[in-house]
Amino acid sequence: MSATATHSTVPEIRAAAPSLAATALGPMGLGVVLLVIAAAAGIGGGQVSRFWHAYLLGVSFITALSIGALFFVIAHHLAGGRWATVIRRLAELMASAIPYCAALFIPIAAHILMTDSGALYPWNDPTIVAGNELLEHKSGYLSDGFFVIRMAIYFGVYTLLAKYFFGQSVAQDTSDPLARAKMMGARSGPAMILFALATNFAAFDWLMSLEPTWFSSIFGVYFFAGSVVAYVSFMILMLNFLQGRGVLTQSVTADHYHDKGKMLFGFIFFSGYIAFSQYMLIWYAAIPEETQWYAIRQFGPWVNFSWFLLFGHLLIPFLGTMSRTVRRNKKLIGFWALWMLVMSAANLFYVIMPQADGVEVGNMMKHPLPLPWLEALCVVGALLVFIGALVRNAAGKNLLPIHDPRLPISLHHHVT
Amino acid sequence: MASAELAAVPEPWIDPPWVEGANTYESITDKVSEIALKRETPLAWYIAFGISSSLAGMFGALIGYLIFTGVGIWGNNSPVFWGFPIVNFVFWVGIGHAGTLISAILFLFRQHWRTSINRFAEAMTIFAVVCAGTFPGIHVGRAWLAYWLFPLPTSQLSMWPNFRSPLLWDVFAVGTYATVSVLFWYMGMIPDFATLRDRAKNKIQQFAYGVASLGWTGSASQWRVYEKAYMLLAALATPLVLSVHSVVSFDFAVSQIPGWHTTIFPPYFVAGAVFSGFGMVLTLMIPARELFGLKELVTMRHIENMCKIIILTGSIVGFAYMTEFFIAWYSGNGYEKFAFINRAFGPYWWAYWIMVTCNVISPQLFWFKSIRRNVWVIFIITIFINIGMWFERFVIIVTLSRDFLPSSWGYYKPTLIDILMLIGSFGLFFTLFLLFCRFLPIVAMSEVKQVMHHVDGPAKAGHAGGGH
Repeated sequence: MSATATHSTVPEIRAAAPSLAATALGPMGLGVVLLVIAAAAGIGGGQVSRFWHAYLLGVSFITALSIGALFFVIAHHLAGGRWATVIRRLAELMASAIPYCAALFIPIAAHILMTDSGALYPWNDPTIVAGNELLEHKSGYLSDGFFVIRMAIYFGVYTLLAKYFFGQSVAQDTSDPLARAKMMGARSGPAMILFALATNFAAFDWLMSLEPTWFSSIFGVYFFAGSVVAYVSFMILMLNFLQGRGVLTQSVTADHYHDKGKMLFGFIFFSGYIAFSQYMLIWYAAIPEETQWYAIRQFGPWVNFSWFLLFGHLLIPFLGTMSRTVRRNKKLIGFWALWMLVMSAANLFYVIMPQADGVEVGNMMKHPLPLPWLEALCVVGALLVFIGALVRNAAGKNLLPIHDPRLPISLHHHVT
Repeated sequence: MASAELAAVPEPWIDPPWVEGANTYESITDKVSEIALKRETPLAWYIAFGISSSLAGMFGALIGYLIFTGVGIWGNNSPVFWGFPIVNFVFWVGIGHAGTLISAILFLFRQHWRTSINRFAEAMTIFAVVCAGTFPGIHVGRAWLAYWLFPLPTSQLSMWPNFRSPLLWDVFAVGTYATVSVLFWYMGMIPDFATLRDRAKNKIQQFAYGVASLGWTGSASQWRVYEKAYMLLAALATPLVLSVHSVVSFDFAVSQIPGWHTTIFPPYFVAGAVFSGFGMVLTLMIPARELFGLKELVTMRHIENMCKIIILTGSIVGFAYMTEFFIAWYSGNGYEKFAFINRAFGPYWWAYWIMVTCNVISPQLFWFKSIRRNVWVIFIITIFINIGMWFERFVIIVTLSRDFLPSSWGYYKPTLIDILMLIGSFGLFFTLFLLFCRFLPIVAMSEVKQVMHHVDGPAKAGHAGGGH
């Protein structure tokens, strides 16, 4: 039983050249330019609310990718994982892009702190809050200062965790691989608790408070599940891309795609289950404070988008990723990964965009957007910044933890 | 090269041999089948069986008393119409979750350690579901009409159950769960029944195990079909792990009752069920491995792994408590806020804090390896978990005692009959369990043997590199 027999004789590329750091500036710069264009076109075109929502969509999308990757890294250590060691460094790189996500959140923080505009978050507008008992009740919590402090705490936690696990992992390449692996395992438990708390409340703040009178206790889990779907999709696509360029061609095998594919399948189902739980309970109880969120999405122009998401994010890819043959074929699972990455953005679009133009709280007549060019611009812009961050983080690093004690097991991983 | 590379993997990441000691295929068969086949039943078993079957008998007698007298013998009354019976139902359904999780989800996750404990956990699941099913059956009031729960076409009834009621969904969810669990459990036992049949000395045993083994010969074609069926049942059972307790959570969460209606209920109930299920598996497994000499099959690593699942699910439960509390405040809904404050500081504050202490705080002790390796401490903590999870359901249900209208508030008090019936249900559970331990193969012999030569790490790379 020799796993090496199937390997080609061409050596794989296992490290990123230090010169990539300069290359990273290209996509990053282009991304920022696109975001600036979006701002100019949106705000300049009088679509202030729409722009801010689209911008939030872009930055939450890449933040979700980072958060999903961070979860995977921590879970890998926590579970004493082995099979995923070969792709762990790539996940660490994605997680380490979190400071760039934080940087892109700065304009939102500035918008909240420096204006009284309710264009993005209606609770930021004192005229909306005044006289609204429900909003006055939580005006201490949903206030600009406290909101921004919390945002800094979430990003602080994420950055700390991402930096710690990435830093230790890179240090493992040169010294004490065993001791560091054990230490990362030991720290992964508290790390997971911090991660869960940050993600839960971040989702409440960034996305749920777009409709400040609405609440759903499962919302943090909903955002988390979607983030993991986005992360797995991106990872599969990245592996496809890198292997096409001679990177990790031998280390990452059909078995790793198979397991990543299973994870995608599992989380498609899990996120569907969570979305169903939320919808089902709110629909059944029919309490107006809760149904308002779905009312916008279910009646009127947004209803088609809801159907699109039900089939596109759950039912079709659920069937598509069910087969073992698909999961073991990197091109086929790559197709579904691309599908789900687009759907992940669509899922956030569904959460964020119907709230646009929502200056009037509880306004049922919120309009859908004619053609989502502004949103696409923001998502692509943010994604370019994210890719630039990935490349920059990768420069000069090994692309797999070459001395991790578990690497041999992962390299010989076979799905049974 | 592969062997050499893998041989360098340090100890923490190599699956240990999941069977300890100098065991062979034969010694495993000897040990497990001896429990079912040996003529002398241990005295301890008789004592335990005597106590639990008496309690089960009491449970039966009380059900008779209930049917003849009516549900007035319980403490259920306005405004808490769902008293102990529903608390007990949800508690027992929850206990029944570890079996499927171990059989199905851990199987799909390639967790080889499950083989020593899956049979045991599956049996426990089924007995817990039996106890669970009893309570709604007798809670309907006129127990002789309990079959109305099913949508039966009958001319005399001229009506159907309400398909929009989660109580009816429960009938389907729990019914499906029980069916699939029994199938899974029974199918897994067939090869082991055949082993017992071949080793049995007396005629009755030969006949009984012979019938139960359904003509199993162990041929390659039988194994092929068996493995395929096992895989399919595992895949089928996986969504059931989520569905059953999600539907049970719907019993509460689809309503508009403050404290019951919150969207995190489905995943929170599932996590809680797995948490309590593992608690109960450990409570039973720790004495059983001692009594039946199974310490080499159910090793400390097995117990440690279960403790880790308990920390995970216990933390999720704690996380859900915190989230629902936060949302109750954040919602700005006065009733919602009141329900939660009332839980923690109202007349049932003691139940709430028992719940929090047992479910959130006690499992956190498992972060320490020394505690995860001390069976006595683990045993005590798992008892706390069982108590805590019972109280969780109690806390949820007594939320009814203070609803929207202060004039209709009340204080729910269980009667002696309520308490005796709860104890009686434990009697039923343990009676079934002791019968299982005495007469059936309590460890999946054929599956344990598969992992003996199926260890991740050096052994997998070839015999040359095998360390054991």
